[in-house]
Amino acid sequence: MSSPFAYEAVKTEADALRVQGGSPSTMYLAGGTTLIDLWKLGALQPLKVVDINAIPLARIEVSASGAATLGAMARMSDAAAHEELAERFPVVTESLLLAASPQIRNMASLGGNLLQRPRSWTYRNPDPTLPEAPGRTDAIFGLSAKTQAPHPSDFAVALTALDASIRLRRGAGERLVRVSDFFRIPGDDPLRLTTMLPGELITAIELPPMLWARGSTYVKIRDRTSYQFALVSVAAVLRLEDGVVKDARIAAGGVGTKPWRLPLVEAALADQPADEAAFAAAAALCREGAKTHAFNAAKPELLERTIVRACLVAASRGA
Amino acid sequence: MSTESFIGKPIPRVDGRLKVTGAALYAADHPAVRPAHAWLVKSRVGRGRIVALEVAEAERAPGVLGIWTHLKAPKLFLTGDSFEEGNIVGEKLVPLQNEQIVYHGQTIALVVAETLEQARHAAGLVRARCEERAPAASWEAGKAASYEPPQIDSEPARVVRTENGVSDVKSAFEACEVKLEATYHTPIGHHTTIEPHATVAEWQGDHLTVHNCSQWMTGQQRALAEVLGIPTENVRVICPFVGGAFGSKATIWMHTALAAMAAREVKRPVKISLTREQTFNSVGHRPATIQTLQIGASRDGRINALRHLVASTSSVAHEFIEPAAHTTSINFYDVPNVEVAQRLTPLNVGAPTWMRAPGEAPGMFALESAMDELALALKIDPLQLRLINYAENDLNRKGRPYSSKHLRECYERGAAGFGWDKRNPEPRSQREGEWLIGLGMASASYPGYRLPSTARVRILADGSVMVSSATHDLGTGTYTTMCQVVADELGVPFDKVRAELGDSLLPSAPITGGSMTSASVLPAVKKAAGKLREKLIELAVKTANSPLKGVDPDQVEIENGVFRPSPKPFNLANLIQLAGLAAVEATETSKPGKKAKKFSFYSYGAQFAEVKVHALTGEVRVSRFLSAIDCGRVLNAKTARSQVIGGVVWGIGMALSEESLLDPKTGRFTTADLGSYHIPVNADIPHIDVLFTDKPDTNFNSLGARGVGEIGITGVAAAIANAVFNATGVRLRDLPITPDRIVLPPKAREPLS
Repeated sequence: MSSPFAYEAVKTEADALRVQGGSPSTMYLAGGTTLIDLWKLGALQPLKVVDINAIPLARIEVSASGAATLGAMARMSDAAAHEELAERFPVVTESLLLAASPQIRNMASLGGNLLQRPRSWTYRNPDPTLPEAPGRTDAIFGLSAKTQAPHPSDFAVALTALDASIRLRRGAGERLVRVSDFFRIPGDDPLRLTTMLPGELITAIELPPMLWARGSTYVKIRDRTSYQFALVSVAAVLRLEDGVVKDARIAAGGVGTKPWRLPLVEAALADQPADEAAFAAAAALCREGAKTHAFNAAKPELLERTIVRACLVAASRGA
Repeated sequence: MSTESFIGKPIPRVDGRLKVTGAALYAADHPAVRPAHAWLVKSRVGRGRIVALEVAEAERAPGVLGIWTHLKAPKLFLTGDSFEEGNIVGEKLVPLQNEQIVYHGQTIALVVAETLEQARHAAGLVRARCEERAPAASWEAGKAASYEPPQIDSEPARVVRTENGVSDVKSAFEACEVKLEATYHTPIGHHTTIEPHATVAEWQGDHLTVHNCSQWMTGQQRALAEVLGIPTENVRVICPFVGGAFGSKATIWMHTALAAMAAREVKRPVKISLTREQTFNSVGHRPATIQTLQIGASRDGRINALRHLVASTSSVAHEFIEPAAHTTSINFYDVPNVEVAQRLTPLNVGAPTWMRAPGEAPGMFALESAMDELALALKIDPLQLRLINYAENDLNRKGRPYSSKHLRECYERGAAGFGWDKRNPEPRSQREGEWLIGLGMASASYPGYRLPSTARVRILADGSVMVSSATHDLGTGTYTTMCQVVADELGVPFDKVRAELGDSLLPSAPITGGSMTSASVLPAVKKAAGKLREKLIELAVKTANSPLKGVDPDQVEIENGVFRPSPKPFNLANLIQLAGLAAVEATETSKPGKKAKKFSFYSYGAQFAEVKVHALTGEVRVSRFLSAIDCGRVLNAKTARSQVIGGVVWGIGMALSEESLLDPKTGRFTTADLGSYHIPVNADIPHIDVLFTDKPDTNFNSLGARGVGEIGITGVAAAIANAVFNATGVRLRDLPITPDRIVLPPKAREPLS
């Protein structure tokens, strides 16, 4: 465990891509909060580490149209402190502030946040075939025999609700991937949590121009007030007209093996009054397709209630 | 006596600055010369047998100095394991002696290398092939092997006390007008000390020095000597600072013995520091408990029968009893018919050990939750129910009087300070926006323990004073209180006194556990300081050219380091210099006297909690807490308060978030890191009010002080669970009380019979 590796620091995207060269054993080092942790546990054993901290990819820009570009190397804490972002996309800011601890947020990058591994034995020991024991944190959507661990990122749940895109660079080429296509249900291949290709580097996260995203929130339920992954979390974005929901985006964390969008709930919210009764009726549809066991049997109930709570907050902001 | 008294004052910890500036050296900080570094290889199998252990590749790895396995390890010995003899090991499973594996995380090899990184890397190259068997890693799997232990401390496992004419407690219970039966569950808990367990072992010839995480100098010294098969006097244990212990650093754990063994083999100092995960599987934990309470009362609230049946988990490698009923229901209330009983369920896990208020912490949760449930059934205020059944004497010790019991005052002052009269007994009756508000209370109880202890006080020619004892300051304030007692007793300024502790060469002291350090060590300190004062006065009236020469010693006092009355200014330093001495010292031993057999000694308290529970999503946040404590005389208002606050914080974690889970298939702790084992964060902790009765218990010791390290946690979880019921109408009998359990309460457990 904690195997030796070579280390190289680069200053440009081009150098990063060249040095990494598509090798599975050459890994990028951004904030280090995942890589170093998993390296010490022997779960990641890079032969080479490419330090990309010097690449100027930390800018956060909000355009006049209301779109935003978040540089992949922006620290979670810097993004969370960005005032204009907080005003236009409260769901994003709250998802960042409710994640991890201040110390981790000061180090962790936004790009790295999307690539963190679930908090499960499967992902935290040298042998990914070892299954995690069933527990109360287990996901209820997107399960497979190989993993039931919920995706850990709060930020990714907010991005999923917003239909954000991930900017990826590879060689001279670049592509933009919708966040819903970026994450994958791990299925039989637990270690493949995204659709990134070998050699790709996340350079930015693009938030679409959504002026109504001011009516949004991220609600995270957990045992203690800080430093805990979501038992259940909900990102809600509501567009209201005259007290009626015209458009709704609902995504959930802690419940899916990837950030989980809830289209049935969204559809049921549309054209209904923005009140608790209507929210509760729509939220009940979140249970569709949920699979539970003895330890996580409360999750659908908790999810349903969290959706109602998040919608109440989003509606109060979007009104 | 000095005119200024230091005892009782809120004096800041004298070691505080060293700690916050990083100057305090903890075990792993000890700057050994050219230390080699050790790393433990742990079993990834929960039960079975090592068939093959390949170390060749690891041995070739850079920097490796040696690898020890069961195929190649010096003999280690099992100790006598007696508390009285002070040779307890944490785990009666001596490592690397055979191929048997009984728990996940058991040490199967030790790697020693030049650097920490090299040792860790090589450890990853050791390959074990094991024949696996299914471990017992759940209540269900362990049930078939469960048993009644022969004894729980000095009591049988089943204690039955009935009044005349009552055949058995169960029938007495059945005959009661109002009956409450409920079954509670507390999970395995872990100490999660911020300082992981560490050892630096150095040999000089056949003498061993270990810088080791400790809360029991002489116990570790004896046990380590026995494990290594060397004389006790050849072992020195040093531990001036401890980064949290809570029971997990009392005994010798086997990594310490292995470090000593390896240091002997490589002929260099060896340093080992456990990983956070290793601190979860091989240095103790609090067992899980299932507890069934049956309480029968008349309609006026008098309890006539109480049964408290306990099952607790243990280890197949090491029997450990978490005495949840024997420390609580056996005598807490004035009940004529009482039955307490306990069984053990051995699991394939590392040894459990003492963890802050072992027995009382889970026991008071169950008992005091059940009292709240009974109060509801009786429609009597919960606090009133406790007063109705208040025990004036210790019924488990044939009615022996309590030496100094002021629990009634705790209830009354606590209730007044907290505003208990504003509580609406109707659940869900108080709400602030989205949050339901609830109030709950519970009692706290912990015995007053005391053991023989020795201390030395020495004054040097410059007038500075050193007080010494082989005890510990676990962050509790011992350094400071030792100085306070000396300053008062000897009559010198507080800043002239320093304390040294944490070295087995110093005068011996008992385990720093059972909340007994203040009660045991400080009386010895007081006695030694008093003896030194007598010696100095004696010297002053006898020394030639002393201004006090020939004066009646009974007429001489020492105040602020100065002799009074004296014809001319004459202080202690003047005397020692005049007498041509380097130092004057006194060493005294203090132990429990005759009164120890006449009285029953306990600390008590009342815990009051206000919680907010989110009406939709069930998060519980403690919004106010008040702890009213009767621990005898308060020696330092600041450090004592901190101890109670620390206990309450522990209780909040126990109530709401802390839970260690085992994978039933492998026996692995799945929550073995601080990201998964949820101790409270700062934002979980409200302001905590602490009140003290501050009534000296002079039957107990010369200072009138009982310890305060553990009383603070007892009853806290019940007060919170009771407040959660008051807020929500949901009664949770399984800890911790998490949002998922609030929105979908777990089904009731099978009662024990």
